[in-house]
Amino acid sequence: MKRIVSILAVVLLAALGFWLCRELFPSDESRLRGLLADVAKAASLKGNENPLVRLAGANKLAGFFSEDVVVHIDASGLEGKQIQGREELRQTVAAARASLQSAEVQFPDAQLEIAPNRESATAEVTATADINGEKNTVVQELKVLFKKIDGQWKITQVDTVHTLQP
Amino acid sequence: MKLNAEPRVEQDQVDQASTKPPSSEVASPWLRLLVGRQPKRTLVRLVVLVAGVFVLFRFVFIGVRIEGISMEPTYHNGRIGLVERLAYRYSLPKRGDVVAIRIAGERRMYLKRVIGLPGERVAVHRGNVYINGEKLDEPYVRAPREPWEEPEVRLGEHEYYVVGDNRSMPGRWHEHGRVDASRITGKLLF
Repeated sequence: MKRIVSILAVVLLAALGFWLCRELFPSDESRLRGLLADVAKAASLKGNENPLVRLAGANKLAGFFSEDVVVHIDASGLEGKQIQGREELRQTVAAARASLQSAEVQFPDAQLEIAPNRESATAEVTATADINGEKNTVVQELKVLFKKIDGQWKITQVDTVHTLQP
Repeated sequence: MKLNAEPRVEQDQVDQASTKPPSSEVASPWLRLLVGRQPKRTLVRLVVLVAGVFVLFRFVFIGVRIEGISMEPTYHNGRIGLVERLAYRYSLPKRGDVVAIRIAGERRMYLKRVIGLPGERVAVHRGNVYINGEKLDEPYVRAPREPWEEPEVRLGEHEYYVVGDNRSMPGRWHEHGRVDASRITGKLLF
């Protein structure tokens, strides 16, 4: 019995050590996944948020992108729109957030590919958005490029991907 | 033979139980209810069951919950379904098949009906589909059609044309079009 308890304790300690190690020194992949989760959280919007909170949310969201970010949007109603730079992105997001009642954004699928030099990465992402509580969820595939800037991962480019070609 | 032999062993064990319960059998009735008479066998059965379910749902089937209205009235919002991954391992998608289409991954997928096959010309005029210039009979489209217009496209060697059954919604809100065969994950069974 003592032997089993000792083995269990060793296994438990090893698992705890592994978990601590991962928490203290996260891999680039878990950092990028964390960044995407933070972007989704910042892009989401609760129905009862006041205008100041909405503006702060836009600023927070813009902070995840590089200063020279380029966003190409080619979706229904926004064909061929291009956003150049973090400031334009912040203004566009602020305007969109002011006109929406609520939005819940999620990235349920993200296929990450990190460059061998670990300074840049690409993600194929499925973005979903429940807007204003409507029945039909908006689903869009995106290609997201990341770069490590001053030791921090930032989004440098976002492109719309057409899963189904017209 | 083996089946007949086993109860005799149990009888022996029952006889012995009057003096001392065997170490392999569970004494407490509550524990027996939970893990059975022979915990080792129950454990083996449980492991086999879990492994079987894991293999089935990792490599053979995908459980799906349908969201949205683009496949109405055939498949309603909220319905649970099962996609067979191996459906197109030895055969190709056929016209009329309802298929799951991978987006970036497999946690969210499109569910659409195949209407155009590789090499065919597909066009949509006033909501009606034309394959190689001939109108396609679509009994699964039951609601009145919106006047969708799509210019004719020729499908590539590995391309299929997919669309949902609900044509009563505006075309711009209904994802449809050409898809590469590599994105087709499986066929909806029910």
